[in-house]
Amino acid sequence: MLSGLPAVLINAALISALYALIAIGFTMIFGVGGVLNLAHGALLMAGAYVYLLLARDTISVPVFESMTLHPLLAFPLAVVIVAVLSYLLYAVIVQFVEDNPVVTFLATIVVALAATEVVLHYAGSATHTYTLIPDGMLPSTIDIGPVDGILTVDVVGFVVSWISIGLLWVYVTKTDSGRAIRATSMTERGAQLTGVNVHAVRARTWLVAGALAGIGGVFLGASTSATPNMWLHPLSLAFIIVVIGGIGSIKGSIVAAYLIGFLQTGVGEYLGQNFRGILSLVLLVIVLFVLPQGLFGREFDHE
Amino acid sequence: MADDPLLSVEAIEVFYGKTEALSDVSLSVDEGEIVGVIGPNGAGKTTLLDAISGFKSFEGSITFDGTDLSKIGPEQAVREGLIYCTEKRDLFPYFSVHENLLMGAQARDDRDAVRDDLEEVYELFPRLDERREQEAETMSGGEQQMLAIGRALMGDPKLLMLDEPTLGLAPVIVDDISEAIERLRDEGLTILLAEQNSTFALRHADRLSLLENGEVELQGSASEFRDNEYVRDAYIGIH
Repeated sequence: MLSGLPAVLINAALISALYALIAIGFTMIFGVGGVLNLAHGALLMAGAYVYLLLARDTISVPVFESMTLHPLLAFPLAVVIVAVLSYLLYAVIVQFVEDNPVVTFLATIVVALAATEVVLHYAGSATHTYTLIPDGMLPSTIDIGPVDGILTVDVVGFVVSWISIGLLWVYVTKTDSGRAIRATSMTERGAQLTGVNVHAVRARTWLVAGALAGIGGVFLGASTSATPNMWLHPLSLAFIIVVIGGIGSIKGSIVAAYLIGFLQTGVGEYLGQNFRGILSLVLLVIVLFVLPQGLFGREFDHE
Repeated sequence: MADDPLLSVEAIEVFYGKTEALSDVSLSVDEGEIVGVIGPNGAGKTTLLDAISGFKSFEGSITFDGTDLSKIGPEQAVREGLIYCTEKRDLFPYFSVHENLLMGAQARDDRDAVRDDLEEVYELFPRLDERREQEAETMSGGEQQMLAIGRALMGDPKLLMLDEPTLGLAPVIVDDISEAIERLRDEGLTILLAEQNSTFALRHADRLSLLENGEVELQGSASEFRDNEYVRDAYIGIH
C-alpha cells in the first residue's frame, strides 16, 4: 500500500502536474482580459464527461449516440471538444460582458452551475469511473523505486501534463502568435501599437486554456471519478494556486501548483484527509499578507 | 495620386466628453518629409496623434495612403504602415529588448526582411545591441525611448509618429535620438514628430504646425518658423 515519505513525494509530484495544467489556463485567461473564469472548473468536468460519452456507453444523451471509441481516439477528441466549448463560452457570452467584472463573474458562475445541472440531468448524481489506459497496453499500477501500486493513469497524466506545459512554453516564447498572448497580458495598448488584434488574442487564449482544462479534466476523472461536483475542488485549488503564484504568471502557477500539491498530499497523509484544504488556505492568507503580488506577481497595466 | 500627401488630416474635431480638445485641425505629411507639431503642454498634440492612430474617435477626415482612417482600428492602421511611438512608450515591461523588437514585427510576414530590420535597429542603437537580453522595465528612460523607436521601426513604417521622444531625457541621450532621426531621414522615412521641445522639432522638421488650445495657430516651413517673432519669443527665445 501507499505509505511513507517516498509515496507522498511521488503522489504529490504526479498530482501537482495536473494542478499546474489547470491553474495555467485559469491564469492566462485572467492575464489577457482580466476575466476571472469561474466556469474553468466546469470545463474540467466537461472533459471527463465528454470522454465518458465518447469512450463508454454508461451515459446517454438524446440525439448523440453513445460511442465506445478507443481511448487513444476518444482522449484527443474530448480535448478538442472542450477547447471548442471554452472558445464558445468566450465568443457567445464573455466577450460581450468582459468589461464589467461583476457581470462576468456572475455569468461564468451561472455557466458552471448550469453545466452541473446538465450533467445531473443526463448522467445522474452517480459517480462514474473509467479507465483511460487501454486494456492490456500498460498494467493498471506500477512500482517506482520503493513505492508500489502507483496508478499508471496518474503517471501518464503527469507525463502528458508536462508535455502540454512544454508545448505551451514553446508556443508563448517562440512564436509570434503565442508571444502576443503574453504581450497582451502586459500591456494591451502596447500590443495594439504593434498590430496585435486583442480580441483574437483573447479568443485564442480561451481555446488554449480550454484544451489544457480538457486534458486536466479527463485525467482527473480517470484518476478518481467523474461526478457533477468534481469541478468545485479543482476550481478553488486553481484560485489558490494562481494567487500564490502571482496572478497572470505561468511560471508562478507551475511553482505554486507544486507547492500546493505537496502541501495537500503531505497534510492528507500525516494529519488526515480532513485537513487537506485548510493548510492551503492558511498558506494563501500568509502569501496575501507577506507577498500580496504572489511569488512571481507583477503589476498589470490594465487601463 | 502621386501628388497626394501620405497623410492628410482635414478639419478634424476631437472631444473629451463635452470639452473640445481639437478644433478644425488640418495638416498633411508628404512622403519622405519630417513634419513637426509643437505647442505647449495640453495643446492637443497627443490627442492629434491618438486620433490619427485610431485610439481616439474624431469628426472630420483623416486619410493615410489612400485609406480612410475613420473606418479602421489601431491594429489595422499598424498593418497599413502607420506606426505610433507613444509618449508613454507602452513597451512590454517583462519582455527582453529582443522580444520587444520581435513583437514590433509580429504583424509582418516577410521573415527575411524582419531579420534585416532587426540588424538595422541594433546598428542604429548600439545600446540596444548591448542589452538584447535585458528586460525593458529595468532600462533607463533613454534606453527605453530607443527601444520604443526601435520597436516602431520593426513594424516597417510608411509613416512613423513620434510623441515627445525627448521628454525627460538627458542632453547626451537627446543627441543620440537626434542622430537616429537624421539617419532615418537620410533613408527616406516619413516622420510626424510631436514635441514640446521646439528647438528639437525645429532642428529636424521640414515643415511645422504650432498647436495652441486645440487649434492650429501657425503652419509653415522650418525657416518661416525660425524667423517668426511670436515663435521665437514664446517657444525658442530662451534656448
